[in-house]
Amino acid sequence: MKITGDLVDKIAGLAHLDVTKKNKSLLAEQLTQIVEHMRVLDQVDVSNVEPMFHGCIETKPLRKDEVAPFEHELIMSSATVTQDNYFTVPSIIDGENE
Amino acid sequence: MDILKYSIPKIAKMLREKKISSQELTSFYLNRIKNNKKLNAYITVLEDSLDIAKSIDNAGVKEKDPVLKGIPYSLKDNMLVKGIRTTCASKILENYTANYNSTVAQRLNDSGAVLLGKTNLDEFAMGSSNENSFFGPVINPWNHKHVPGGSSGGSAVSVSAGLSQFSYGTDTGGSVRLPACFNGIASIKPTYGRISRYGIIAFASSLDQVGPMARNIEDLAIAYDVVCGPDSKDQTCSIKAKESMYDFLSSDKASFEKSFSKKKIGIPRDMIKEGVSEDVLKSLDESINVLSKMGFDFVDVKIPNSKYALDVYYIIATGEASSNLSRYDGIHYGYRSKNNKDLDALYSYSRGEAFGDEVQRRIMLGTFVLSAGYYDAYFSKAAKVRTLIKNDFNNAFNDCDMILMPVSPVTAFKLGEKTSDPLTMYLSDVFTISVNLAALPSLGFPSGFDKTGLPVGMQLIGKHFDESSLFSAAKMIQEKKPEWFNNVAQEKDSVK
Repeated sequence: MKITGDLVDKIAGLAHLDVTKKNKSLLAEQLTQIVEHMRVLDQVDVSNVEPMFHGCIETKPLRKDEVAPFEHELIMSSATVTQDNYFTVPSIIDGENE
Repeated sequence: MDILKYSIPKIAKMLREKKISSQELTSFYLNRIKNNKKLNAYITVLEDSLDIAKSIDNAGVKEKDPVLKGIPYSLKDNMLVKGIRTTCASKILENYTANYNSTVAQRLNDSGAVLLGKTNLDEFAMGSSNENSFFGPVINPWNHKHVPGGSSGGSAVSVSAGLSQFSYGTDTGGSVRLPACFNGIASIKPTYGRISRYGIIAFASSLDQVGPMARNIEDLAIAYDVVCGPDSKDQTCSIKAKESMYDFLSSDKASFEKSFSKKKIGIPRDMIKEGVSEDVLKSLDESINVLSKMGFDFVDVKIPNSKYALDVYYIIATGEASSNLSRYDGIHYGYRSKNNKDLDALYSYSRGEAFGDEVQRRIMLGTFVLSAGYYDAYFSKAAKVRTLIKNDFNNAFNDCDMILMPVSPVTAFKLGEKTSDPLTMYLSDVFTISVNLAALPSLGFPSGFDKTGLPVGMQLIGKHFDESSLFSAAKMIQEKKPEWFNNVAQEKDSVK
């Protein structure tokens, strides 16, 4: 499986990562090498095998679905840009800027 | 007075007898941190820890106080401590201050232990050499040209170089055991769910587990005891009641010896074949020899699917990481790019400018293995092979109680040796990752030194939730081989 420059762009888009300043051919080469190595799993017969998606050995009872107290202003203080105690994002409507 | 030679129980006794104060201990370690800055073990040193020590001294350490009261420790900088900068060794969290406590930090705080600072790591715990930190690499104190192992390199160095009494790292694929091994100290990666992950910055949630590090087994047991146990804030944390490992190790010798008599240890010879250095093989034989003399029997066990573990791990871990790290969006907290012409640009530039190369590589890989068209062939397939690896261990444990094997095929490698080839770097974890995939506990212990004076380490892998067998065997090893423990790293002239 070869990871091409186009596929790097597609994955970077999905991952919201700007890779324009990166050495894209090196990145594609490294990812190809790793993904090629992973093809070793093709040899394994997994028919009738259940996937293991978590590490829990036991099941746990659920706790009550109650809102825990939190300090709103403290949480907002971690954001670089806020307005009136709201998170601020660039305008998503044409003609306005942050 | 040589504080570095003392165990936690000894120091606790001295504090109660007023033969030493928490301030003396804290300033002793703060001075050592200052004098060993070139090791780059700490990202943040908390000078005000002395004030905390002072208030502990003023209140006095009483007989009934928790054993850790007044004793200094360090925490990997991916664990939240309220009001303290927590960077994860990343530019993206360079100026982030935690606004709540992780359960681990809360329990240590409640115990009265004194936090000296936050230790260096590979960015977002992604790495095996601690060369991926935004704050620069950590240096191996036994030989400054070598890596300390990763990703909890700073925590391991803080213990091995005598810059804290004990420490905590996180182990997703070996990140506690590998640096502990490269530093000649003891460590444990508990069964998945033994220690709460609440407030631990997530890398791969189905694999991440906090693990303590110490210079001897008693200290390790105490460090383990204080943080483990149920936590309603983490749905993946086990509800099993906590059993004190230190109390267990302190129980009378006869019942203690009875607890491990006739126990069998498995050796997975088929895993320990290629690429294992002569020194490591020799050390394995020596450990087998020590354990044989203690009455353990040995059997060969097979973990046939472990040969796929590396690939399974790098699919699952990167897949989970790509999802976990999507929270760093430049908006809610952390680095925010000035390039913000629209929302997509703000996301992409914030992440592209502030994540390091290895983190970006893993996000890319993880996004790929989860993406439409590739999910079945990669992520889903890996999750199924993971089941086979777990089954292999369960089968092996039909024939033995514990498994013994090296932590790493080689001792600490040179700085820069593997940085240009990610795949070769990933192979450093080949002996540790199966344990995380199978959610098993594994205790790493130092087992002497190689020809050049670098530490060698072994691991004892146990059944789910059977940490007590691991602690008891390790304690017996320490009694037979005291020279393997309580070592403080000093660079030897001969290896400079």
